[in-house]
Amino acid sequence: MNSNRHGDLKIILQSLGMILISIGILTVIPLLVAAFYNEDLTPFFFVSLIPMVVGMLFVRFIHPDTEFQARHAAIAAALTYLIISFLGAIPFTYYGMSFLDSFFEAMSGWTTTGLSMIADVEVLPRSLLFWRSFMQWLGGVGIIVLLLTILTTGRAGLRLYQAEARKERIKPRLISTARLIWWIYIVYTLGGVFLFFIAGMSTFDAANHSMVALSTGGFSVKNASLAAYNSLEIELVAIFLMLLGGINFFVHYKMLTGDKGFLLKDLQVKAMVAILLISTLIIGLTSLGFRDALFQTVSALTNAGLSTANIAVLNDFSKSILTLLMIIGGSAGSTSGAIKIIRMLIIVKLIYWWIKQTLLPEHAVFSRRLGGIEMNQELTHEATVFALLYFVILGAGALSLMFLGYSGADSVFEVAAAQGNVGLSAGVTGSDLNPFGKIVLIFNMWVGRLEIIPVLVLGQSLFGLRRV
Amino acid sequence: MSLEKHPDLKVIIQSLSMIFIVIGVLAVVPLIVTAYYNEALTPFVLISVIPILLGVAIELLFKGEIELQVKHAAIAAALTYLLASALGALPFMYYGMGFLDSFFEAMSGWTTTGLSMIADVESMPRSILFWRSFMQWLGGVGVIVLMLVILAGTGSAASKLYQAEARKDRLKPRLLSTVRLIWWIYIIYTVLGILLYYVAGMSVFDSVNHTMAALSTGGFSTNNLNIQGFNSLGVEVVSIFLMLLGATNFLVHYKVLTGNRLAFLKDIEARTMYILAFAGAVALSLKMPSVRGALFQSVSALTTTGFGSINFTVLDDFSKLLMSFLMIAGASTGSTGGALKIIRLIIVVKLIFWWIQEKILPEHAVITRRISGVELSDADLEEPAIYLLLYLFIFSMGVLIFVYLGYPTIDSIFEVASAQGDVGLSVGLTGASLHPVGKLVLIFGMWIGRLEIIPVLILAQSILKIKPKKKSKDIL
Repeated sequence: MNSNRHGDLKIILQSLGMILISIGILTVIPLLVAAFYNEDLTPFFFVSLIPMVVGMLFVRFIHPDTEFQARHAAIAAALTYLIISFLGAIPFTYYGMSFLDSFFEAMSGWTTTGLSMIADVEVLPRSLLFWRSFMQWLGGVGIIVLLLTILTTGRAGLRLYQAEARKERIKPRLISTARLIWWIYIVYTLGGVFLFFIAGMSTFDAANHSMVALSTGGFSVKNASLAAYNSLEIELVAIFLMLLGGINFFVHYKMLTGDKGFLLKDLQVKAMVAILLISTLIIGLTSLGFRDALFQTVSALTNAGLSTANIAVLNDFSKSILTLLMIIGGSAGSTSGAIKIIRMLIIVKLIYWWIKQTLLPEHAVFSRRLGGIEMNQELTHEATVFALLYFVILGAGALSLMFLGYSGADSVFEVAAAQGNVGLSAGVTGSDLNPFGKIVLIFNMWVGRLEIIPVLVLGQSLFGLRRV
Repeated sequence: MSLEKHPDLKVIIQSLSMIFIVIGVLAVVPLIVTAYYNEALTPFVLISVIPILLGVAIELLFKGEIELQVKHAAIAAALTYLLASALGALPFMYYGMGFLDSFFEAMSGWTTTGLSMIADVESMPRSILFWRSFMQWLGGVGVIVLMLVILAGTGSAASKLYQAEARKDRLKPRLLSTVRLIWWIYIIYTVLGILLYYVAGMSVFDSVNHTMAALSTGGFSTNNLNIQGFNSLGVEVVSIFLMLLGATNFLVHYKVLTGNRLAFLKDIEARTMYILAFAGAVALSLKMPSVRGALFQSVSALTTTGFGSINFTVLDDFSKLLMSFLMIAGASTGSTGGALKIIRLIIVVKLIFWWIQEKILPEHAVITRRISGVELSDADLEEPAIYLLLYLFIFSMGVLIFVYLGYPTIDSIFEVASAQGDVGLSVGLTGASLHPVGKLVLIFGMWIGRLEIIPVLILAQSILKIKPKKKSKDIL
């Protein structure tokens, strides 16, 4: 057992090493940005250098002797987000923020959440603003996908890929899949920068907002988020980009390779459009105007978290609707978080089938299909169990915030925003939040991004929970 | 409309007639109470006479054997609660309440909820107060019988466990004798409860009413401040005892009474209930000023009774949400309690636990899925999960409507959870001043919660299908 554990540790450290190296390499980009704006290079040197050195040490001196299993991948994925949040916190700490706040900011970045500890972002150095957006951009495409572009051991790659909550394989060969995702992502990002620029943003603003919209992250370089521009064009571009980010990358692949109609055939896209129309109508009629209503529903459902309205002053009803959207989330296989539309569809269908079965004569047989795919118990179990677990964690988080004295509606909203990696805030998040509350939200962001299971596996291996 | 073409309808009407007659005969009890206190007899004469006449008329009109299927029982049950509530509303209307409020009060009574439209109950005639408690008392035992009939037919996981339990203990397989047995246990407990409350210092009238409301996990009180009004530790202890009795499976009671003294500790549902009530009390006491109040409220919420020993208007959001969770979890199957039911909760937790295990363990490891010795299949496990999700879905629709009406989110959650779980605790939204739509939502919640959803769906389906029946033949 002991030697076995040792082997587990080795193989996990080795894969972490590879992730660290790639992070280190990519951090050269914010380093360049800092140099371009003639700002302090020190923090980004650290962020680049530390992971590279540590990673190389790991890879060079650790020689694993066990096979890479699903368990290892899960633990590596869970640890990755913790470690890179430590790294990501360095620049914030350098500029004087407390460690907890910096860690929060970095976790919010990597998990593409967008909740922020910084009240006044406009006074920050540009390199720091870029760093926030850059974390989200990388986090959106997935740290593990990133690794896959470098990694060559196929089986291990697949495990990691799945551990980061991606199921579909666009192409049978994993590495090429990962590369493809990257290409699509980069092309879209450049397109986004261009569109925002046309719509009237400065280059810097356009680059940052394109990164955070596409990754459904939601950090903004403006204190008032997109409300600061008060421009319909900019809002339309943002909506477009958020929707792109909220759609399964398999659909993008199909679209880009010629199947233009595929967008309308995809079940999740159809459901997404329906949900958006209904909720825009509801919110538009009851509180915000239609323009803001559309923007906020898209932002909530795709888990982006950009805003054009002040959420804190919304009435409880609009908050509830937005909360529901944040819990549903975007498509599986997209950059968004939360439960995901496909699981919701499965659950709705399950309830429907269950009712049908109760109403029909006993032993009546009917086919259980969703989008032409026969639903077996494994798929339906996954969806129900995941949703229930999600609710349990959400409930626990909301309860914790209420324990600290925040109102019921705001607590549920804020935890839903953190766990779904959305980033809209009802005003609870800020540097004056109770430290315990910050930790709760950090935990929710972390668990939400990893889709729960990797965190459970990590917990089990750390505390040696009984294995029956 | 010829009933010959609708054999189902005929069976349902016939079974309703039996229920009418039973209600009519039993309504003689409040009639006697009214006579004893020398109050207006009219409303209770009506309540006794109308259903008996209707019942007898139906009996005479539709003769013949009836072959009751589960489907019929379900529809009859769903209709019974509506009709009984219309009937139960009469005395309130007689004393000047509006129809909606009266209907609400009666539905809250029959479903053993305990939410009330009456702010000042102390000014009410005693016969009315007794009528409220009496509805709850009947509703409490009624739902056990009802679930025996319906559960036995659905083949769900809960019923599988339930039946296995019954077989293990060689509980008489015949439904009728089981029902009779439950009645006896129920009556014995009621008498015991009255004694205990009396010893704890209540008047005879208060003891009778509170026993009926506690044992049926109903929660109506004859005091404006509910249990808080007595401010007596003795009364609270007796209440906790009776609430727990009411929320325990009556099969367990049967075992305990027939010699197996420790059965209530062996039953997984009862055990979990005690643990949850205790855990709830500990968590609530984090924010509540007194541990005593926390324990009482935890038991009251979990057993879906709805007695209150504290001031609810000053409750913080944390405690409200926590109590809402307890109200959603609910009591044991085969008890007078409502909401999700603890056995479903256990199965769902196990389902999640096993699923995680499957992910963590090496591939192809075999996990035995047993709960108290009964092996559960995938479908068995899935049913409670779906039920929970459906329950939560209906619940959130109710909450959304409340929030839309302008009530605070947390209060809406609390109130709708309370209604749908047939609990009866209120943070102050329920009252004559509640928006009519809100009243309807709560009535619907109480109704669908008490029937455990399915009968309502079957009723809805049959109503929607009666019309197109002539056109399409492919339905059956």
